[in-house]
Amino acid sequence: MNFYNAREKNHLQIIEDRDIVNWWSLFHLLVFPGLIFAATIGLLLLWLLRKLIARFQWRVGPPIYQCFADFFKLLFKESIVPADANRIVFILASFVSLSAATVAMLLIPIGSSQPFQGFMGDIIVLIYLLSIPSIAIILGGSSSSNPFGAVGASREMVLMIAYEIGLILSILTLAIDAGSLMIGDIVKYQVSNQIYLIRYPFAAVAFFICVQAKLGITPFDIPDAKTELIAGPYTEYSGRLLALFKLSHAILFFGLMSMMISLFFPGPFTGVYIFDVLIHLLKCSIIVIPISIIAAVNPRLKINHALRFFWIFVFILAAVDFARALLLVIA
Amino acid sequence: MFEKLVKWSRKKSPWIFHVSAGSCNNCDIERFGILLKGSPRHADILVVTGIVNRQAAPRVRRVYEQTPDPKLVVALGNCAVSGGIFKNGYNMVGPVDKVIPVDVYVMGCPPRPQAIIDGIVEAIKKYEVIKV
Repeated sequence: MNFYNAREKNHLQIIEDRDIVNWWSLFHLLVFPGLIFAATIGLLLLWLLRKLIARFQWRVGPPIYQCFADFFKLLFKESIVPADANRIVFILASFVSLSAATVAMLLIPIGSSQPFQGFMGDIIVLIYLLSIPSIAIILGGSSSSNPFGAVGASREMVLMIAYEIGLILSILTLAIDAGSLMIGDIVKYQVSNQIYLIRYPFAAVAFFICVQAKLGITPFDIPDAKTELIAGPYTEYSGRLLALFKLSHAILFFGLMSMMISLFFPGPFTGVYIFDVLIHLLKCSIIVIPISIIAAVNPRLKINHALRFFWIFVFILAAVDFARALLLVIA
Repeated sequence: MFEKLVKWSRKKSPWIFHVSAGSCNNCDIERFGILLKGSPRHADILVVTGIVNRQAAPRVRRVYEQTPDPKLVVALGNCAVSGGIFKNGYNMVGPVDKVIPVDVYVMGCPPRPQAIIDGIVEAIKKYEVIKV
């Protein structure tokens, strides 16, 4: 009865909100945690990744504006749609990828314990939203009428099957432990108790590896393997459409880093929001360091090896902590 | 302002597609934003090496057409520029400028890496002239 009342109230609240146009949510979507902010930080983090990899290989590396130059150049170039491609799917895939990544930013807390649009069960929506860019890549690759695109899309599909289990299992571990499907509650629980990096280190490692696969960073850049598949699903993409994919990749990069921080080591909150965001960004750039070391040191895995690696090694890591969380809750 | 942004970004992010019409690979120059891409669709500058033989000629033309505008072409090495030691061979269709329009010629057999980068820089200067 109580639960029903709460739902009823919530429902009324939503209707009230709908009556007044909520300009703040538009601002959140397009400027602050959404499109512009996330893209800027994402492109800077991608630059950091490239720079660090270059330094590990004793090269000078690209200058700080490099990723912005790449993006703007692509934005003002001709976009060719191949004559044999499925025109609608080919063009829509890049927009779907970008919009899903942008909306996902609203559900990820940045430098606070509360995401901008949190609601009951938002972590499930987040899991779905974060997998949409991968699906868009699969759609784009297979609609491009290019054999390299088709092979790249099939590899992306296999890779997705591989990493998604570890990713979801490690998120569920935390949800069970915190006893909530709201990402905000998971963060709050850690602030008042203990960070999950210490309590569930195996789940943290599993999540970290799955994020690398999701972003297609070097040991797992199997779908767009340059030396084998030209550019995989992106082979036929050019100009603006490619720029949109690059942008959604940058936003996804920042989003997944933020998610890792919120889920495993949400920082000490100072109370002043700007400082909290700065601490958050600092942590993001600290995570890029191990990722770049792994990318610089390791060669690309074969797709069957990656599948075995995820289904055996990563799955066991995630399952150990999942079992521990279950036991802790039951006990 | 807008035009400046476009020109700046084009100059700072030259992505290369290496059209190998019969020769070897080049060095790392990510430092200047130059990236060697796998797909001509992603490329801004085509770097063509080799004499362009009968087998390669239609493919070189096709790759040129596949590259999105604005595009530039650098003919790299003596073979690409003039045919080199293969000049007047029965199998030669090129040099490159007989098949596709060429913007910059880089001599050398093989050209030094510095010369290759210089060729790219010369090509980038053309972005000032190309209208946005």
